[in-house]
Amino acid sequence: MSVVTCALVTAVVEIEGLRKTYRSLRHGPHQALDGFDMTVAPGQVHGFLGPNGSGKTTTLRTLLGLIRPNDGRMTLLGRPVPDALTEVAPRIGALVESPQFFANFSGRRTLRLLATTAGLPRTRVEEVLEIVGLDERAGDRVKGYSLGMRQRLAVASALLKSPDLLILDEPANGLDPAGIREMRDMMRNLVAGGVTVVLSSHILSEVQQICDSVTIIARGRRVAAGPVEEVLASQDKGEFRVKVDDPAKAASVLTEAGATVRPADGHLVVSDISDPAWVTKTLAGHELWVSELTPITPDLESVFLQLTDGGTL
Amino acid sequence: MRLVRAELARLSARRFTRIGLLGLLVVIGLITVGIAASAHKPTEADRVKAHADAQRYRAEAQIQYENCRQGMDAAGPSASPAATAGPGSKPLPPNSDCSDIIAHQPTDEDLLPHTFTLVRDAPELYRALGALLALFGFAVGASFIGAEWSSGGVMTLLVWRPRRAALWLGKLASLLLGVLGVGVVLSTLWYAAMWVIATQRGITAGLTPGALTSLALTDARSVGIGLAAAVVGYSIAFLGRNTATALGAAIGWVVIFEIGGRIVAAITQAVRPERWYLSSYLLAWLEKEARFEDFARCRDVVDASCSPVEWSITLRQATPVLGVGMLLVALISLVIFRRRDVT
Repeated sequence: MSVVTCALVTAVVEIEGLRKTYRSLRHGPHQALDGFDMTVAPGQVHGFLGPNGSGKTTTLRTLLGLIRPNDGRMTLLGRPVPDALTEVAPRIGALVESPQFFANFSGRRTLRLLATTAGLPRTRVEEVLEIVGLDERAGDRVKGYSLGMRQRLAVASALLKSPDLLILDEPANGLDPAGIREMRDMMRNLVAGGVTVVLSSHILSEVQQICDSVTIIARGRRVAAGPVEEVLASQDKGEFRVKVDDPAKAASVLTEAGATVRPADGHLVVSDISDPAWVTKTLAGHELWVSELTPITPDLESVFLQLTDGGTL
Repeated sequence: MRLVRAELARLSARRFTRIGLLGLLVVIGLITVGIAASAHKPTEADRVKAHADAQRYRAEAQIQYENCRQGMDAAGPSASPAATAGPGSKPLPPNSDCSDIIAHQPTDEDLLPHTFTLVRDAPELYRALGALLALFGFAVGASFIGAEWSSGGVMTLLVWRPRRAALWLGKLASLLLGVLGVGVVLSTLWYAAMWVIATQRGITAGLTPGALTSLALTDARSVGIGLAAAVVGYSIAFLGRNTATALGAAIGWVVIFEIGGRIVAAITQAVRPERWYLSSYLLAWLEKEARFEDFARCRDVVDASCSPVEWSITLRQATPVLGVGMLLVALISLVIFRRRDVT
């Protein structure tokens, strides 16, 4: 497991040793969370990644008091949950999976009912409709909304309370590229305003673009955590892509010199070296001239797949 | 209170509620129109004839009573009124007294050609309203929370207000307020319709303060059964997390306990099987007393004159049975909801 520690102020979300076992007469016990840990620092967009069935949604639901854990300790905004959940709930906005809304209600009415429940003014409804870009269609019935519009409505409902912590489970579901971009900008604006966002998503490129830190979960356990760059760096194997006119001879020379070399699509991938200049120097000594030398930096997708055994359970 | 207000708005805006309410209004409207069409104001000739018939009936009853008394006096203290009703008189039922002959004399109104009589017919109509309200309350109550489970609304509300008991009770309170409102409005409207029919085409006689109080209590029990049905439908749907569970439970109850129970009772010759049926207690609640006949002692008797034993379930007996049953279902639903994982 790779865990990159970082200096924290007061963590907005803190989970330690969380365990949850579902029991079913038909399928027997299933351990969804097996001592899971997670820490989210304030003022960040924190990516929460994991393959389907790895325990992401169970974690978020447990955090929000929807599921009872078997063991573990959790805090939200510095307060222990579920004991103090009612105290911190007004400061948390959450979108857990894609909520369905009553099809015959308009988007505005749906939000107004929620606002009434929380004693929020109607002006706040109009504000969040504008934030998610749904103000022009707010009077339409939800059944006429596209998947992306319903997702925006769900995000709007999570924003109603002007939360300090926003938990979004797959918020980009159903959004087109423009919508995803708007969502990304919205999250950035929220973070700039002091909101902490926990983002669970399958769109890894999106997470890499927007998140300051990540936690990766597999089989109910944390397999990596920390700032995105550090998590990526922790999986950096020091590999370089090398292009030469005679790859076979170059491979032989580099192997004899002590490097690990493998051919890849007309190139050579050289690993286990610390200084790329060594490659140039070694090959030049044998009259082999390097036309391309590129460090292979792992992206979040490759790290994710590597840490989660190919993204499977 | 905010939750109740929001949920009441949600309940009233739901299509299922509106369609159910419309259905209620249509059924009540059809019944009202049917009553109005079949009722007619008694003519003066009808009244004269009814008066004459009532007088004749009372005179005959008086003669029969005198004969019975004379027969009793002649036969001595050990005589049975059943055997001494007098010559030309119908035999009296066992365990009856001569005074029973004149105990229930018909009034002139009783012998008028059949028409809508407010005091006589209104209680039955209020009981019908109770049955309709029960159906409405059960279905709307089940759908109100069943749809919320299906749509993820319960999860959304819990994220907003992570107080399960408050959520459960708040939604139930809004449902009960809604059903109570519908019950009160429909009761008032129906009474107004019945009053108009009775004054224009029927009979309003006998509408004393006592009769009005009795009518109000009958209506209150009818609305009460609607509220109880709403609690049960809501509680079962909350347990099953969908509307179909409540509807399935209701159908299952009818098939297994009401229909199947009667078949089993007939095969096993169970004694007073009605005491095991929920419908008996519902009937007793609505009518203040549900009367039944126990034929057990006549099963092996060849004598055709063997009379069954009458017995009844009273309002006082029915109230705790229905109340405890309803509260038990509600309590189980609440306790399980407080403990279960919302997935």
